[in-house]
Amino acid sequence: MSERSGEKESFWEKIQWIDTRILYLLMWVVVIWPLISPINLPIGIGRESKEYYDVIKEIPPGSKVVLSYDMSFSGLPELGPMSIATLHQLLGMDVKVYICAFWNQGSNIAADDIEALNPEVNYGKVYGVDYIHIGYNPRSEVGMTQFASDVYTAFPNDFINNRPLGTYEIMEGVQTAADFDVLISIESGTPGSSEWVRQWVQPYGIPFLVGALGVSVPGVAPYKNAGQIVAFIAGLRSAAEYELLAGRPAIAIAQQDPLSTTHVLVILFVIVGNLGYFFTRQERARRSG
Amino acid sequence: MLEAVGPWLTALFILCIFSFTYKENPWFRFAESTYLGTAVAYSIGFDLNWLLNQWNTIWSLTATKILMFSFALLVGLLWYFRFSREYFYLYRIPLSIGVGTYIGLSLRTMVFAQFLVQIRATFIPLVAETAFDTLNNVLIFVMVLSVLLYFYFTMEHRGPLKYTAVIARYTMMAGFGSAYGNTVMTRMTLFIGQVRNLMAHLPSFALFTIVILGSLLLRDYMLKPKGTSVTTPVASD
Repeated sequence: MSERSGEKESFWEKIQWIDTRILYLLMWVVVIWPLISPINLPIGIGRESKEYYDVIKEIPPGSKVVLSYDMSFSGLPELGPMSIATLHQLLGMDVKVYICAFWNQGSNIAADDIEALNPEVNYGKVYGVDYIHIGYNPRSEVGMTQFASDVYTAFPNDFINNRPLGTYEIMEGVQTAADFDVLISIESGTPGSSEWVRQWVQPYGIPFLVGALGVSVPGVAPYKNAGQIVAFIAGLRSAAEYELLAGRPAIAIAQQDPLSTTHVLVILFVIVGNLGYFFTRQERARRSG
Repeated sequence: MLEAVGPWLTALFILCIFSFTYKENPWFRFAESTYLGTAVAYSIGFDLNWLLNQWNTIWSLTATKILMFSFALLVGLLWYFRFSREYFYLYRIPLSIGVGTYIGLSLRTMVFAQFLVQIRATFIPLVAETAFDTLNNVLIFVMVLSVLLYFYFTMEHRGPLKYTAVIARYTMMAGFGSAYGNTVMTRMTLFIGQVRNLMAHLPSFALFTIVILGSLLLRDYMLKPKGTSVTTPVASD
């Protein structure tokens, strides 16, 4: 830079080399400020969230729904609100819910969601009769294939009581993927939608819904476009909309204000950075010309 | 008592990791190493539990199953020859089985799920029911064709291909921009989530901020060469 070549740096050059710690500090400020003093920006309902909610709402009574927690703790801020709201909506319906996980941390997150919702008290549902946590399978896509061909070899015991699956009433008449009616995956990455599409959607034609991280949208959207995914929500924004629709306003809604303020800040960073680049180039051209 | 320790540890480790934004430091390295250790132990524990359940519920029931399970375990143990110079080749046996199984299972439906169905999804009517859908379909048609032609390297991008290459470039730029926007949202959400965690436990947040930031500033002050001011690292150009 010019300072190193002995010339005085211009304002726009300085802007380009601003200490990143100042940017981080600004980020802290714009997150903490709306958390302390909420702005309560309005939340409109998007088409995708409405579709996701409606598809679940229209699942026929008595259906068997697989809800897979394919996520890690790091994905919790975005996926946590989706998973608990989805479980809330499912428990409020007359369907059987089979919770599983292909990410080891997902099985604990699912157990936490069950504990938080307390289905026995709040929904009148009985564990092993109306819903079950069939546990974790470590074998990724191979595990999904195994799950599709024989539930009991993929998940020998349930997660909560560590009892053989076959001893639960809810497992009557369940053997393969063909015995389930709907598949929902709340996912952080791989294994996730691609693997489910390959091992469950394509061979068995099961309706598939996805809750994904915002960063996964470019990977998931083509499956939605091709009809392999019936509905999907992605990111904290969709999670907040879905929380509203599912009638369980919680964390995602509370985080909408800081999400907006941080985005405004990032947009400002991008604008200032580009202006700095543009004007620096102009100045250099002027100096050399 | 134990329940109270959880939030304090959470606050400590979040701030240790965030301290990296100031600069690389021992707090960060401590949290990073602890996380790696616990994450590996957690995964091993879960996987062993699954294996134990497999044994108890399925594979210990008949002599044939016991034999099959033992054989699988022996093949699995061959992974450890990865650390032997002399018998290194043995580790390739479980590796080949794993790779072969995975590729076989994926390829079984990949051609349909991720190739044919995706192509079919672009066969859409150019004139749709609404003007918006028509525009959408035309854009999909033009952009998909342009991007495919962009990666057709047999011919130079001249003549008509020059124009499709421009459209393809803009299409991909729009795609990358969209991906970047979504990435920003995800990263910000992670940050907001952790800040909310910290705000929920204000005493530990305040205490550890003072301890970590204070120790880093003190270290900078102590290590400062006499007669100079503390300098901040500047990204190299």
